Amino acid sequence: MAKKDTNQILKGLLDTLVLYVLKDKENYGFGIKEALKAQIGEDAEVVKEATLYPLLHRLERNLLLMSFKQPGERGTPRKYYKITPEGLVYLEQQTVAWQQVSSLLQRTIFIKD
Amino acid sequence: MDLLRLTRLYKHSFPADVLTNDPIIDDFLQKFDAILAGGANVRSETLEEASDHILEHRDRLISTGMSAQNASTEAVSAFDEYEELAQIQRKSKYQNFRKMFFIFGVMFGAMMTAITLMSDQFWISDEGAVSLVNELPKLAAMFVFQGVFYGLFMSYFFSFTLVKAKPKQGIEEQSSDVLQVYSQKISKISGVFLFIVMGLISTTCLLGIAGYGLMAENGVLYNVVLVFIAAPMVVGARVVYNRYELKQDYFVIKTVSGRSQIKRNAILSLQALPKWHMVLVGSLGELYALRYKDEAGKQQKRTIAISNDMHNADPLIARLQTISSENKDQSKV
Repeated sequence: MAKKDTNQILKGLLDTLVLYVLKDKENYGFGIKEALKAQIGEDAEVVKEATLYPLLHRLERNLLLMSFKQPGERGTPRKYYKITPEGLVYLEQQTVAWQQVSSLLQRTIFIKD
Repeated sequence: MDLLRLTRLYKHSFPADVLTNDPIIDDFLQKFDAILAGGANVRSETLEEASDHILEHRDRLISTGMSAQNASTEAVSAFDEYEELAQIQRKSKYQNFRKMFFIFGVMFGAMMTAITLMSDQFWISDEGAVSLVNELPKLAAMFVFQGVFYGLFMSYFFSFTLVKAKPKQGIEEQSSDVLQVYSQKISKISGVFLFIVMGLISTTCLLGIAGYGLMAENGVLYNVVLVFIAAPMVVGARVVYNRYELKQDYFVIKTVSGRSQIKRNAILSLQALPKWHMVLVGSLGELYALRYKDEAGKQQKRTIAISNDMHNADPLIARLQTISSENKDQSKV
């Protein structure tokens, strides 16, 4: 149950995490997954392909990301995702919101522990 | 009737260009393809992204010492939720179809009905003047027919067959790192076709307004409306002949009216303009405002039209935005 709850929280955070991964440089699906793994470790396993790609496509539809194709190392087209100016603003807003949540937890639950 | 099959009328068979020559991965891709919606090129978009992911994963596993066969099997099994992914793809396509059907249906139904009402011929019959009330059922039937006909046609086209042009590397790009952006051959042919057909309609209607030719009987208002619809398409068709080149130092713009170039380090921003600008200036491509500094250091604005069907259109937009951000950062320093 606890693991399931953790996964739910991580999924709620995913939009922000993916935008953060793309903050400085464009990346493609597998690359984004690997970058997430580097950031959050094994918890990144919760980001299954069936979660990651619809999330990327949704962020693109909401104009927070844009995509473009470029021939990859194999010569086949590779789809890259790049954060848009709107995405950067949204990331900033989300970062502030999560900081508030974190601060609230620090002042309440964590301090009791 | 199988709904999924209906969405795949435009090339139902597996898109062969997605094959990877790895039997384990190709088996998986064919299974995945069977439950995706849309024509072959639409399905290819999802399949290419999945295939790239799996191949990359496989190569990573091989580099850790795993055998090729085991690596392929493991990379494919990591993509085990593909049915869920396909379900989301289908849902998104169906939603898009319904939305487009409504928008295009209402738009075309209303437009065709309005054009009919504007024609002088509609109001005159052998028995004399026509009463609008008596004609309402006929008009309603016309609205529904036009709406359903065009709505189905356009929404099917946009949801299940249309995709962005694939990136293409020219010989020049490989040798001198130039990003070339240009329309596909089919778009250029369509552009000429559109120019001729819409040009003929515009000319006939203009003659009609002046009281000459076939369209004279329909009255001035009818002809004016048709000119307003057809003329922007005549002007807009030129976009397919636009060509852009992003070189090491310059961004080159080639249009039917001439060639110009902007220094890369002078580019300040690239911003997408609202869709209504396309109608206003007569463009078949998305419009972007490109701000840059000229030789005298004065800020200038240039509108550029980039059509989705152009090769490398998206990389160009992405790179121009990156260049403008880099230039902004450098000017801060």
